[in-house]
Amino acid sequence: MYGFTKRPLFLIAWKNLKTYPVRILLTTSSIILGVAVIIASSIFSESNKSAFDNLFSGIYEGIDLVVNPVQEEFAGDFAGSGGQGPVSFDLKKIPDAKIKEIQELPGVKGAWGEVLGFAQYIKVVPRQCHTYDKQCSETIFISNGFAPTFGGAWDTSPYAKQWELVEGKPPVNNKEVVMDVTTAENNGYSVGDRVTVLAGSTPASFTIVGIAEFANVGSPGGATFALFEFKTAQRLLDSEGGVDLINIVIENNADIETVRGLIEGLGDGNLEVINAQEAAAEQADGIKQGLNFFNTILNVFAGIALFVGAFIIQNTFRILLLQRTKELSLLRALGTSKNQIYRLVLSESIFMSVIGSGIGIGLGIGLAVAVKEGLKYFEFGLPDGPLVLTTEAAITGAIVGISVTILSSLLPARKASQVSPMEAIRESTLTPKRKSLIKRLIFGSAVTTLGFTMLFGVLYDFLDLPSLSGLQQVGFGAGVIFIGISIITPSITKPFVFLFDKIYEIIFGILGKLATENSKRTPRRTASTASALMIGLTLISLANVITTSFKAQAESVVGEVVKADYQVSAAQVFVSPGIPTGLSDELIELEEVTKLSRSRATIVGYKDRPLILGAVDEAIFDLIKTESISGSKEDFVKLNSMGVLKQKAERDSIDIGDEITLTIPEEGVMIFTIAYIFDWTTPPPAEFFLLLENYTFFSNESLDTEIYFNVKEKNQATQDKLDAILSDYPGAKLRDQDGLVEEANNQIQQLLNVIYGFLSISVFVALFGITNTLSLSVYERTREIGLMRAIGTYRKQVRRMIFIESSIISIFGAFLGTSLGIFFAWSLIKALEEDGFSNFTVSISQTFTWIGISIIAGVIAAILPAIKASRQNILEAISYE
Amino acid sequence: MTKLIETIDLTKVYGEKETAVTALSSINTTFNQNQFTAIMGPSGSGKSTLLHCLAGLDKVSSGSILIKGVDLASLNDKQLTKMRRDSFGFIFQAFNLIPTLTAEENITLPSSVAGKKPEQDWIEKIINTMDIGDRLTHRPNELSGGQQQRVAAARAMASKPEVIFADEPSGNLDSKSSKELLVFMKSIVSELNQTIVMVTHDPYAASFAERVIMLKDGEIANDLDNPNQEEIVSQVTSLTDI
Repeated sequence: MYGFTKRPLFLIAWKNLKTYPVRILLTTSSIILGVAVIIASSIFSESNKSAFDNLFSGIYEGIDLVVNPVQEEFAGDFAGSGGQGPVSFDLKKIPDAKIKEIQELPGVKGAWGEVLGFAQYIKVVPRQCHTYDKQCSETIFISNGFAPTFGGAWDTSPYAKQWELVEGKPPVNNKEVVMDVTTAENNGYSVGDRVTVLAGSTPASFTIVGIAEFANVGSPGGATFALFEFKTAQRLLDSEGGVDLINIVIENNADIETVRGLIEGLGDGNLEVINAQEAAAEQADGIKQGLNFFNTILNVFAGIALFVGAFIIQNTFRILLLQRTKELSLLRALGTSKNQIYRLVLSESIFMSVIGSGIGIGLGIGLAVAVKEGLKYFEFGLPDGPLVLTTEAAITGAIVGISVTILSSLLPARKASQVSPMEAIRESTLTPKRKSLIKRLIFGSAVTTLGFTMLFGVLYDFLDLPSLSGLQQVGFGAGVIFIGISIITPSITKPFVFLFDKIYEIIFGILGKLATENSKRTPRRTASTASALMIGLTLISLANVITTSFKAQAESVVGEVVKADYQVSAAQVFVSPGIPTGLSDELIELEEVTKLSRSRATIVGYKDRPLILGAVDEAIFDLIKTESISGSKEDFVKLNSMGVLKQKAERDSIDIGDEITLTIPEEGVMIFTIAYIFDWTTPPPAEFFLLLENYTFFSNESLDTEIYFNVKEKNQATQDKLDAILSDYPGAKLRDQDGLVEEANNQIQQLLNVIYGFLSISVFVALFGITNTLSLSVYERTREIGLMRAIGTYRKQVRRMIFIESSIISIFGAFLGTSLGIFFAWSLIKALEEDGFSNFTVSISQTFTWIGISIIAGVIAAILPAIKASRQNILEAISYE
Repeated sequence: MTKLIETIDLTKVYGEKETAVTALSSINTTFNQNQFTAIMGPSGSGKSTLLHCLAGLDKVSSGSILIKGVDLASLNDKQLTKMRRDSFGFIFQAFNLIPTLTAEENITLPSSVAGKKPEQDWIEKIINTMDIGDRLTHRPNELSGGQQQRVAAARAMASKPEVIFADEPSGNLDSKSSKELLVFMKSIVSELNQTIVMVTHDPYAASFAERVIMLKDGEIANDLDNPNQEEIVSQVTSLTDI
């Protein structure tokens, strides 16, 4: 009895995969990576979400109700902006007498007040001074990554479960502080150490009496915490006689709503009482939304990786099927229909996609662990917690992976089914039939031209696509160009490689010639392998040029806009939104300082809304660049005159001579006349300005937002003198023009590094493509390489030949990508011209660095195929089947 | 005549233990300079294996091969490659040429990979002898089978090797091209003082050689000096009959 195979093609498909596991790995490598990124990003955000859930339930653990003061209407507007304004702004507090009142209410078991504000641990490190005889020092702000720095009061209530001492004792006087365990561990502090804390604007020294842990996570969200004795906290955190909120625990038998009503009754409408557990959920949700943004970015990059992956899969499939032409045509000769061949290939791709997605999910979990550990290493404080993989995420990853694989294999499968049964009988060569690339060239050129027309049309205003913004139109045009170029690449491979011919032959001799000839032999394959790299490089050089241009712009703007020799601003806006006015007083006294302008601000009421009112010295107009629109500086300095920014004036149709009525705290209603409309070219501290010396209510403010000044001579001696004065004001930061430029550049560079990090994933995927293509090309040329070895080519030379070939592919991809990226960057900047961007700068060194990196990476990708080629058994290679 | 290659108890076994197949057993023979030798034998007699071993493409199981007194087994891959490049020439049955290179580039390929300039006069002489002067700029797929094999023969000689190994060089050719190629090969030996060791199963091809070694089951069955075609045919028949 002979066996009967019910599904012979399925069997063949399965056997194929079983026999060639490496093929699966090669084909699916890109899918594996793409799926892995999706999964990792999902795990990462889900885990953070659950960690934040835990964190907030930790914050409110054991608490039933929380009493908050009702804030004034306009305070809410500022709370919404994150409270990051340059102005000190007082939130309402609950008088601490209320705690006692609440405590005595029926049903209340315990009540304690909480004081919370910004406080900054600082380390003062001595530094060598140059000429000045005073001791110089450098201030280091201690923080855990980007997490905030908080100060609070130590809860003495027996019901408070949030902070628990790991070591030491609670703070009992104004010289003691308890530090959170994360900060203590990261910075090597222990009980008994002295530490300086900056809270408000003046630093003070404390003894660490205890180390505490917050709800078992060290510190909430990685923030640094300085916990003081209650009265001290009130004084330091601007909460004299009050608390920020009151936590309440109710009796077991009490009804929560009844108690809530009683408390609200105490407050005359000034107290808001919320259910603690509901608040926990609400606050966690807020944070989660913020994290979603991060997740979206990760998904975009995963999408890019998958897009590149699709290119590679299609390519690999095509090559694999080409190798199996004989096998497939034999099946055809034996009577298998075209349709069956199509299904055979598709079922193989389904197998592969399932396996690839499975491995991808596994790798994604690994990646998430790696990212988490990495962030921990860099002290990027996110709450600790277990990694969470949701079923949805796993399914999404799998579906995306599987569908991308299957979709990319459709075309190659159709092609494979077209194979003629005669191929099996013919003496076959593995070289594909040379189809004319002319049609492709014409079609691709048409698409590219269309893209260019659209792009230039939008940039030079002779074309306007409806319902798309200018930037979207540019993006659309760029997308069309990109697709057009992708279509053309196979037809321009030969001319491009032609450029290398002579150079490579001169440098590498016959090996160079062979390598260039090989990449010309299969222009489609060379092109699509290069395209994968092109995508990554386009994005990288786009990011590169944009940021280089922004940097150059920042540099010229700082040089043009800031005419002052020095600028002083708050180092940590959270802790202290400004600089104590004592500093500007000291600077004015200094004989080296020639001209100085302070900027101050206060909150006033304007049309029943809060408004930041700025004040400056007259010297400001000499120290930074302002542009006069109408009115005059001379009128501005008069009493009851007011200056307004151009943008504000335009928006609210304010003109010279208009009267503005403001409600000034403790002064009442005042009327000002608009005397000067001007443009302030740096980020302005306010929109309405008065002359500082004209009004006393600005003297009541204790902080300057910014100070600009000139010195007689900018030299080391002056610098040292300034440093010495500044060392008494650790919350202030002194920068000269170079410092300002450097700061702007650092921020841009950090952003660029993050983008580079993500984009390198797509380059990494492209490298797999190069490895794939080369190993298949080596496989195809087994004979040829065997022959070369037989007639006396060293292994080393064979390897070199493969490396050279790889370098051609990567140079091609890098060259196309870089050119496109630079062009797109130019278009983008051109499109942003109206928004004030004018600088287009290409960093030659960075561009070549990336091309260099691509070539090196291409050579690395060629290592495996090269080794395989050089180790080939000569006899097997040259013998006949 | 000078002894060029000497084999001592040359044995080649494929596989291991139960599956072991002896392809060559204790071959003791010599190949002289400036001689055209043919190795013949029925399928599976070991003739190709012998050629591959002599050419350093395959490793022997026991015994040794001395090329001008140097034992091939004592050379590492790099030295062997150098030996093949500088001292040996090769003509295979098919796929002799790199498809992306022109005929001329194929001919000078061994000296190119050696990084040496080919000897102009010598190359010209070979090209004339092979009568391929007008095909030099063509790629292999633009050449006829006979022309391809002649280009291969020219390449084999280009670096003035000590010996040319030919594996069924006329196996894929029609009778006219086959005769042309063999005539050329014979003239290489007589006029250009080259040495050729050729494997063939074709008595007609073998009849161009000055010496014919008959192999059967991995052993030398006969060693003929200047045999004519009839002698070879009868020898082959007697070997196959047994």
